[in-house]
Amino acid sequence: MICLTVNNVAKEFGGLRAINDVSFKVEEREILGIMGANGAGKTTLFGLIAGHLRPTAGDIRFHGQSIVGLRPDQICRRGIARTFQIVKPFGGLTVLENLMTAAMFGVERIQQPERARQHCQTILAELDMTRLQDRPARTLTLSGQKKLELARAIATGCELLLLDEVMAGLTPTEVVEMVEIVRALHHARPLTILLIEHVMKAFMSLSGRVLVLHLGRTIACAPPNEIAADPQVHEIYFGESA
Amino acid sequence: MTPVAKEIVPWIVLSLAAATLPSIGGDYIVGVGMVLLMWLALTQSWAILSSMTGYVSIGHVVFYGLGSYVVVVSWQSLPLAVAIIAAGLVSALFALAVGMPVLRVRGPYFVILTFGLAELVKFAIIALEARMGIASRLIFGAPSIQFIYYAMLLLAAAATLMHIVVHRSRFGHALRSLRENEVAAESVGIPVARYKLYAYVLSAVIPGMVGGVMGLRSTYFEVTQAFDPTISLTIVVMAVIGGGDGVYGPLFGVVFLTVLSEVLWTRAPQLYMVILGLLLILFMLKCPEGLIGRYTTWAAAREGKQR
Repeated sequence: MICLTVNNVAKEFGGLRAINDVSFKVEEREILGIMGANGAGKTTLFGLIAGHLRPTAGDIRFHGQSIVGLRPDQICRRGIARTFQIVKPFGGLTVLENLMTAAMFGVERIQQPERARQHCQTILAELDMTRLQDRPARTLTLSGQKKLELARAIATGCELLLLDEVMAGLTPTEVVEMVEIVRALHHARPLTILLIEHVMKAFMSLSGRVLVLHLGRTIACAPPNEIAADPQVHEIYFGESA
Repeated sequence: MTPVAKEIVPWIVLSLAAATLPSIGGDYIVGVGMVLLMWLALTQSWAILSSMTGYVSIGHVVFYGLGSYVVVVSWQSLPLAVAIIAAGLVSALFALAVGMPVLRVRGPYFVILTFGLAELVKFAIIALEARMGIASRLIFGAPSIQFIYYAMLLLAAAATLMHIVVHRSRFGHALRSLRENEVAAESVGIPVARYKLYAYVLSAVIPGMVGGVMGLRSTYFEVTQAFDPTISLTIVVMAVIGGGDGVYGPLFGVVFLTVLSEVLWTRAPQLYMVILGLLLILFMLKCPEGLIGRYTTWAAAREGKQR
């Protein structure tokens, strides 16, 4: 089954084409990595899917239904959640309250706070964050806040998860831990993941397929080992070979 | 007992105590009590918008003024209860109409906009009155101070109850989340624009009714008095002095400032504003988190020590 279809999508900011005629499909339960240099349009693509930006042209379909023109909160309730490259925790609220917001307003829409609390506590346990549950979110370390972004997205009850550089700025040990967490979450529930990452080892080991963006265009979409051998990708990343 | 019921009990006790005041105190005490309850009703309402969402309004007098105007204009042609309810409705409808555009801007821009909006409405009504050839309206047969006291008690209780219910609800949780980060709030499914509008409308209803009742307190109605910007500012000062993120902040701020101004006003009328100004500056420098905020950190530290 196809989870997400992106069809000839373009996004212009003034005269700048940040995304230019991009098309791809994501299967259910797949992990699709998106790579590209700074300014390639990766985060813009997430903004378009999550509804923070509206495409200039093209169509985006989730389970066959177009989601173009829906607000971010409506898209979240359909089952798409994202994390932010620059973390956006609810700083003054506790870690548990951060998750409860997602559980009460996302796909699950749990009406009773007490049930939402229990639901979120199991997610925190899954991510080994139980001891942090009563800490104000702003007092967490960067790696803690990145994990919180991930936990909060999961708490919405999403089917499609957009992970925007959840490993950037983490130490090598923390990266290993984060890879394991993502893998375990993906294993435990029917989750489809789009992944933007610059930490290559983690990225290549998680992704089933990799989509390469360059200046807003798709230049390749293949399994990681083929991408690693692609001369065009080499050229973009390392310059022309002598 | 449900948590909400538990939280309401002390307030019921307080309300019952306040209800006995007119039978034991003279007109002076009842007058002070009435002013205190008025500020409590206004500040609790304000907090539903500004404490919960972080959208700080320094123009809440616009609702008070509109309510006053509705009641004064319909005085002796509508039954008073109907007029007061109409005052609340008009304020709410006004908030609904202007809310969408006003709540698009954030931070200092929102603050300035609320102030400007209140001034705009004030001068629009002055122009309207001038067009009709009315400079100020006299009010004959206004209700007694005891009546106004009880009306204020009812409104203060209603505003406090509304704040408690919103604070504990799923809706309140959403408001607090969007206060912390609006983009994150909408990406976890909160219809941010709609919820902000609801908060704005809720925070307008009771100030409209308070203004309606207070419009009958003096024997004449003057637009500049009903839309006095000092009212908006006093609400903010009381809320900030009280501090915290709940229903007790407004109570402590209101009691503190009302009692203090009363004492200063009677003991040192020449220095009243000077001393009040100095105290406020001191407060902001030494205790910016407010009385309740200070108490919470103190209690948390004490609990930490005992462990």
